[in-house]
Amino acid sequence: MKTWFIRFIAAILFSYISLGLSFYAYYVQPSIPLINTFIPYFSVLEPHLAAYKFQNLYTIEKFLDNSTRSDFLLDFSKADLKYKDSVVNLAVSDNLILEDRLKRWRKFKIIDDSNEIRAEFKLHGSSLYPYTMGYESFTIKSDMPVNGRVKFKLITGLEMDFNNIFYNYCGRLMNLITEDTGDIVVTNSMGDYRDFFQYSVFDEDYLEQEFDLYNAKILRRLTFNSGRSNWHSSMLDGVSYNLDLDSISKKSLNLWNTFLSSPEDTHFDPTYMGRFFALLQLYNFPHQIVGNNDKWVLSQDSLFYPVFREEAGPYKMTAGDIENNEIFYNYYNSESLDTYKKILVSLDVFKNRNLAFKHLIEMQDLILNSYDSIYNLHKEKHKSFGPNYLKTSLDKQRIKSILKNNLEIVKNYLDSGYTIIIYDGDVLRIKSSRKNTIRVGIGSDFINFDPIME
Amino acid sequence: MIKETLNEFILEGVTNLENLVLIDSIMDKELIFEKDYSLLITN
Repeated sequence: MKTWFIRFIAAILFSYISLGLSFYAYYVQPSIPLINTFIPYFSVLEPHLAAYKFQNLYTIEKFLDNSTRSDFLLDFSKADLKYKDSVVNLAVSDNLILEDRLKRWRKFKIIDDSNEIRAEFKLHGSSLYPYTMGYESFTIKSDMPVNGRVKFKLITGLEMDFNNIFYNYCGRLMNLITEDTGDIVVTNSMGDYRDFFQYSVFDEDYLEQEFDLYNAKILRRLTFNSGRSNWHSSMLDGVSYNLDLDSISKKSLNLWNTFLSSPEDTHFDPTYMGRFFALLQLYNFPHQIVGNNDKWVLSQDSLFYPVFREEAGPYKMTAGDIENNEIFYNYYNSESLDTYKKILVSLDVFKNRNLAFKHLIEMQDLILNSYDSIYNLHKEKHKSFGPNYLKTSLDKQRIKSILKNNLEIVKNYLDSGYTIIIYDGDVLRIKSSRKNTIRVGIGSDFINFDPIME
Repeated sequence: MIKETLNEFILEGVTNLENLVLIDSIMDKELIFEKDYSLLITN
């Protein structure tokens, strides 16, 4: 009996440790070859384990009492609840995506600090994944500000978390047009209290308030594949009028059409594009510029600005990725990438990109410390109300490690290369694989030499 | 694949290399090289 009991305890302990190590390896993805071969297998199992909350066995502190409470309450009527269920059921049985035609505005109330605020909601997003997992996201319009916002999104913690605040924060740090930095809030959903990423709707009003961009137009592609292979791209990505817009002037559409196929430097700001590419390439993943993820602002002075809207997180960079512009090949293809490729070959943009790279290196400590600070600020909410705090905390380790790695590679890239100088008779020849403009000085005269060809 | 390709800098009428200085404009760093040879390789 005693032996049987010891074996039983040993088996439980072995299973607990093995499962914990599996979660750790899957979420942190350490660079260990044997572990990496195991990850694809566990990726099939993990969603099922997570759905049954096995990960909570490793975050015992989640169950300890804490002082965090909801920020506001969503007061849905029975009819609202029935509507939400029926729309999701219809989408699941019908098209496997939550199409816009199914999303309708419905009136409801928000209770904020005992104030009843009249508001309207509609379901957010196209992917049914969170809904089938028992989570939901909303677009909301309210009569009064709720946590400082009147037109806002509430995105389930299953899809967005403190990382999105950090990504937008970095975009602002680089003086780019980004969506609202946002907040992590707790509110009621599906009979429970849950964490959400709350941020203002990115529309023309928001551009005026935040960026002093008046009469600007936001351009985003409309269609995408039905989620079976290339989720965000489609055969219509190169078609200029395939836009998610109610209306656009003929002049603006013509400008967009020309810009897509041959982006002239009279229609973009090379310093802005340089900063955009620097941050985009630091993340080393093109998710945000593929297909219907790709969002541009057309200003009233006819300049196009891509909106920096990182969502997917960084992708580990290896030496040579920047020289080879591997970023364009780290995800599936879309014609939306072509415009960016054409802009990056502009020497002016290239130089500004490298200048912005240097700025990122100078801000390395600030970036990494901010990542920790933003996490610490919101971790209690994720811990108590998030769908998978183990994943959130281990993902944080993985992402920080990738950021450190990518910043180091950017630093090496900027300061790499050799220069060959040949002095033959009275002819000086210089060829260099360095990345930046070289100032060639002979006596007091300096001439700029750009080693990289336009 | 878009790859970086290299230019060549050519300057005629240079009488000596005594005062030759190369500075990386973004790193704000002088490139160090030996001046004893006709073929010079810097960092």
